[in-house]
Amino acid sequence: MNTATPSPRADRVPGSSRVGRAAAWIALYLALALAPLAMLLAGPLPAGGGRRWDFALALGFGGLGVLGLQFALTARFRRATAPFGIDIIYYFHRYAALVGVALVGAHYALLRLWFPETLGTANPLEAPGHLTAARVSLVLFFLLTVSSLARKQLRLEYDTWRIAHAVMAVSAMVLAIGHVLAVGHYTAAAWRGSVWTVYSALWILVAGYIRIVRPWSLLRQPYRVVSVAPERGRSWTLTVAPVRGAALAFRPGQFAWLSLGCSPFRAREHPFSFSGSAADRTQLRFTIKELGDFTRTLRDVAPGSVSYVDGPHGVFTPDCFPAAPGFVFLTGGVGLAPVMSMLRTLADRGDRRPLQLIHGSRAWDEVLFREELSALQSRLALGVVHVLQEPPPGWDGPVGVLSPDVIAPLIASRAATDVFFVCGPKPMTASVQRTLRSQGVSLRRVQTEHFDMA
Amino acid sequence: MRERIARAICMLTIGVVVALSLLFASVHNEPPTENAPLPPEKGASVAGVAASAVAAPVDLAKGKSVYAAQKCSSCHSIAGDGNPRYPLDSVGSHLNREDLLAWTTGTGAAADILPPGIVRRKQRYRSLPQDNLDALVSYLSTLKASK
Ligand SMILES: Cc1cc2nc3c(=O)[nH]c(=O)nc-3n(C[C@H](O)[C@H](O)[C@H](O)COP(=O)(O)OP(=O)(O)OC[C@H]3O[C@@H](n4cnc5c(N)ncnc54)[C@H](O)[C@@H]3O)c2cc1C
Ligand code: HEC
Repeated sequence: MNTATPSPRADRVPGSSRVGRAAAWIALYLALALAPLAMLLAGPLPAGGGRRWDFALALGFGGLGVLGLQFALTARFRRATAPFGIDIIYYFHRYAALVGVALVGAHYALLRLWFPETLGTANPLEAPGHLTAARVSLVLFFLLTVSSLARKQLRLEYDTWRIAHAVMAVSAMVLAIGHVLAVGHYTAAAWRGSVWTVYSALWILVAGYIRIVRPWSLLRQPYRVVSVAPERGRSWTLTVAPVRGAALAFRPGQFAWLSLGCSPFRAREHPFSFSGSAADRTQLRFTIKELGDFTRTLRDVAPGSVSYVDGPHGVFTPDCFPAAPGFVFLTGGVGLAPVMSMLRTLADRGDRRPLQLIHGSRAWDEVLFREELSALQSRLALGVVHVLQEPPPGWDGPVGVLSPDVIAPLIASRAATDVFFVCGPKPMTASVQRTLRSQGVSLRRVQTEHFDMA
Repeated sequence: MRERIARAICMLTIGVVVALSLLFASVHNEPPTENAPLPPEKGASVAGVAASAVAAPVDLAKGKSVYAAQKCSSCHSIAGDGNPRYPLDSVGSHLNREDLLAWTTGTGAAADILPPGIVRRKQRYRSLPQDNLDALVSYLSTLKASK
């Protein structure tokens, strides 16, 4: 697993046939999601139960297909996620959950409406086991969705949520598959039985891959903490070096899931962007802001601690745009981290394309990498504009946030040609995206990194 | 941009699932055959019941109420009411009283053919009072295929 030469996986990101590969993966997704329904359509089955009955049943099969695939979506298969960027896969996972739960909910609601007798009592002591399984599964799917969409409002702590999410998801799926097999009308017949077994086994394999194979492969490529250095703005730069061989190869702007001081089997990992130069294969750097339980403990991390790096992931990288005439970076706070990686890498490569950074901070003392940014200006064709919310006396730069009146004049001359990278807190990225659109920047040339995926 | 595509794929998925479900529901339920007539819509009266009521009306009413009280409709349907999976609309035509009783209570040949879980559930009906079972069977034997 040690990669002395650049990993071909990382090289695959910007390939010219990216669109083709993306289309193929989307087709595979649809095929797998629709497989249970296709199986229904594929051949001789016991007599139908009327149009309404069979419609309601088919919706259940369709919903299960979508929900089963949810496991594969978040399994972080690098090949499958690379053409899209894994952040958008998580976004999709959230939408697809709604689709799946809506379909399974409709399956139940229509049966309740059209055939109330068949459902009988909900009392688990009297109801048949397979109907109780279905009810519990439905409730779990519903709780999964609510607890994920409203995690912050419900004040669920991230790690608690994550464990509960995994447990509920696996139980809901096992109960749902049990329900289908126990009812068995349309799954019992000869070959269908075995196809169903294989199809269900697939999700168990995916779950096994996430919990066992992936952590195991990380375990074989450990890193050690070299240093934890303070930065401006309540942030730290963590440097780790591989125990053996070269560090993993990444594209500037990509990120990885980091486990610090614990086994990857514990699944206590957090996503962070690489902030160092991709040209440096001896170590990896992350710049991390103190925000919560995990990030606050960084200052106590001792050099030499073991860590594991699952990556690279993401498509937030200028390497996807080799032909771009120039780049504009719009960042807020620690959203500068992936952009630092881009700037350092471009400097190491001797790139001379025009670059413009517009960076928002609270106060002058908190401007991340303030000194290094001015140093980089001598190695790159880089313009830097700082926007401060609380400017010091005598400040003559822009004040406030990255509002339309601050950025519009700065980007006007580049709106038609350059590629834009946006990274920062959610309200900032949303507002900047609107501004860019109103300035006529085509969506294809705007790349955004979301720091809160879950 | 990518968000839009992601949402579009979700919409596409839900659209295709609903369309395929409708397709399945319609191809799988036509053409209606002799043996498996489409269950009539709810509320429609079963011609067979009215036409061939051989049992005394009072028995019939009692049989119906036993059928309802025992929740036979969680697995069976009559005139489209209940679980369409196993319609009983014409059992009276092809089963005699003895077989009807055997299938109702999961005994005899039925015990070998039915899945064990269903046999267990049906065998509970053996403990019903004899006159309730008689009334139930009388009611079932009035369910004849409509001409
Ligand atoms: C693609 C990506 C790149 C990122 N890059 C950086 C970076 O370069 N520098 C930086 O400082 N931060 C980055 N983040 C954000 C960083 O992951 C969170 O701030 C960090 O995980 C917070 O952990 P905590 O326990 O300290 O905070 P908490 O108080 O526990 O959480 C604060 C919020 O962070 C998010 N979060 C917490 N734990 C996780 C987790 N295990 N996985 C995902 N999200 C979590 C949740 O939305 C949570 O509400 C990035 C996030 C993503 C998704
Ligand atoms: C748990 C589900 C279940 C319940 C409850 C149930 N049955 Fe059945 N019953 C079946 C099944 C399954 C069959 C077999 C149907 C088939 O193979 O076509 C069957 C068959 C029958 C048959 C024979 C049908 C035929 O066409 O040959 C009769 C009559 C019958 N049941 C009557 C009853 C009555 C009356 C009740 C209520 C007292 C009842 N059943 C309750 C599941 C059930």
